[in-house]
Amino acid sequence: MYENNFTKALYDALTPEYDNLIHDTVEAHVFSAKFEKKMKKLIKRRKKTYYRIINTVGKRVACAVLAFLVASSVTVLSVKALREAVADFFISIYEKFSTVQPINEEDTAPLTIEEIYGITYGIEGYEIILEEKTDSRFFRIYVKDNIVIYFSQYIKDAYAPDINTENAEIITIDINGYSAMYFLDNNDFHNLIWDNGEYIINIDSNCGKDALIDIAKSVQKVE
Amino acid sequence: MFKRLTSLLCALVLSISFGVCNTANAAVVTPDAPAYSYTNECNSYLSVSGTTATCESYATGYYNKTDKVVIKQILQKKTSSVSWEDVCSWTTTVYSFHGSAINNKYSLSSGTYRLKTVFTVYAGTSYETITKYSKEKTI
Repeated sequence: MYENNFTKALYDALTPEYDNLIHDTVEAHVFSAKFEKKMKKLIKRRKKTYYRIINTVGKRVACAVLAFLVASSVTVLSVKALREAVADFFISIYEKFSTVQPINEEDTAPLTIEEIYGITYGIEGYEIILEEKTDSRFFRIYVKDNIVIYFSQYIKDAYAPDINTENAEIITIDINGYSAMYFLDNNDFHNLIWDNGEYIINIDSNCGKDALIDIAKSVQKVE
Repeated sequence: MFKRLTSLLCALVLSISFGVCNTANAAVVTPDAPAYSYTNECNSYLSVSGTTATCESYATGYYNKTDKVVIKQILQKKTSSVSWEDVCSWTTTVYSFHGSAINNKYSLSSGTYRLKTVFTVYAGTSYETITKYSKEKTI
């Protein structure tokens, strides 16, 4: 009873005094603009649906790594061919192969094989093991021991093959005044392709570069 | 539940990522990643005359290495700017380092066509698969 009265008396005596004291000395705190901005940002971030995915440093790092991997995958999947003009051809170069097309597809170029071209030098001792002729292509394979020569003549409209150019350096070589595309493929086959104005001529062989160039220079109309 | 779903999604994306990277760098030949180990050159050519289409495909491999070429030709007709329907197909098998196929399709309706050729080129039990499309031709 006495204790309660004392408490009440003490409260009545001191509370108004303390209230006055607080009102006199303590003003409402004003937070800095920077702090307010930070708080608003935090609150806003928390309201986002994906907040739980990025609410710790570890999760944020994981997301960054994941984004990098996804971006890498997309890049790999969407690799475009590098398109270059070499000699008289457009070459779309991919990692393992290239698609070759003649630059000049004139309306005057034959639409069928009308005249046959052939090798006239350097094939002594070779045997023709295959010959194919269609309206668009004349093809011969010569073989001597382990040396093989592929000779092809195409109409321009039909010429857009994919060829093995993996790790190959493609250069230009003059063949009887025509600019030929040359490269050595990863099977040690030397390849020469040129546009003689009417047809595309292609010779591939493992006979060696100089021998192939000599053979190519001998190509002329035979029929 | 949310965390499990997130983990599953992450695992899936990572698997795809590594799978794609491995495929791009792989030396091993898979049917989806032509390596041109056994193929020197291949081509797919479509010519049209009236309502007849001539489909020519060939693949030349390497002498003393390539020993079989399977050529599947599929004549396709354009049905929209992004889709094609198969009209007919032929399969030719040649036990040699060079294979070619030529087939005709008669009485075609007007439209735009292309020749899709799937080459499977063998060296013993190893093989590579290459898909080559011709230029489009209109009847």
